[in-house]
Amino acid sequence: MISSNIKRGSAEVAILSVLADRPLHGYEIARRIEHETRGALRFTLASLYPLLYRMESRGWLRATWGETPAGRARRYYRVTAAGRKKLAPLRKEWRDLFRALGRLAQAHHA
Amino acid sequence: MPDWVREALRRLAGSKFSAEERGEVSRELAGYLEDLYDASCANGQNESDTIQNALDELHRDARLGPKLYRARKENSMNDRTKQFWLPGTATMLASALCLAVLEFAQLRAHFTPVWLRHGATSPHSFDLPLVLNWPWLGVLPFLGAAGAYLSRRAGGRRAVQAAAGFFSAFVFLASLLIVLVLSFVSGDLLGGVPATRTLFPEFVGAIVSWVLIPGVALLLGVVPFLRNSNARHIV
Repeated sequence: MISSNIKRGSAEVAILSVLADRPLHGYEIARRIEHETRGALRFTLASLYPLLYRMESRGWLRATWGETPAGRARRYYRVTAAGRKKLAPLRKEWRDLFRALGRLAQAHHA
Repeated sequence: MPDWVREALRRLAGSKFSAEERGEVSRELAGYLEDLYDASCANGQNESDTIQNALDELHRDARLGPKLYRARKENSMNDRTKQFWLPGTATMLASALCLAVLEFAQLRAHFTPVWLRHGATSPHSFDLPLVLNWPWLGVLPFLGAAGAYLSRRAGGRRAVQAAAGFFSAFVFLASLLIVLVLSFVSGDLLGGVPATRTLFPEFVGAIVSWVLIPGVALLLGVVPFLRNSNARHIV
């Protein structure tokens, strides 16, 4: 498991990444991130929605009410142009960080 | 199965959300809990455990309400600026610029309010003086559309898009009201004639000329955006 501080920092990248493909509602976002990170990142209602609302306030996400195939009303989030613009440098920052940590770990292991 | 909306509403009862916002947030949280409940049931958990797990998620963080409120309001001032003030001001300035250009192009006499034209007003006249500038009115639908479009692009809701599109008309209305008040105060403009007799027809004429008719022109541009911005079914 990854520590909670790193999770918090990486949560925005995770959300923007899963929403880059298609709009999803809150529960789908949580499950998709959990599935794609094999359980390393796990959101609860209390950790997910403040983050989604904050990202929406910043203009990175836009939410609209829609219907699921079962006819249930859900609020779907999609990435805005500003969110896509933010995603590229965020991804690079995280890739660089993990590469640096990987090199550090290898150096100490050797 | 519990009424998840009621559970969420109860959870947010002490928060600073308006009733409308609380309703929307509660419906969204209820959707999450409902999906969680369904998924747990599908995985074979017994119903009482499933309900308890969902309720635990809802009550895990004692400060959920304030956190959600702060997150939603974090950029509300910026949003208001981006979604209303900037598009509204931009279109208002553009409309004023168009008017100035047209006035410069020898159309000034048509735009001068009658009460400012020396000797044009008869104390006994109750004619409704209309000042119509057709080229300017022709430009306004595009400016209304631009205001609504800019607001929508910044994520503005329908009411905000409409307000941004109509901003020029609001400014004209406010300006006319100020002129009306100043006219009542200033004896020079009244020329000793009772204000109700001289100013009322002029004021109504100005409202029609500068607010209502331009408002209709702006509306022509705003309406298509309002029609297209209905919530769509995504899935």
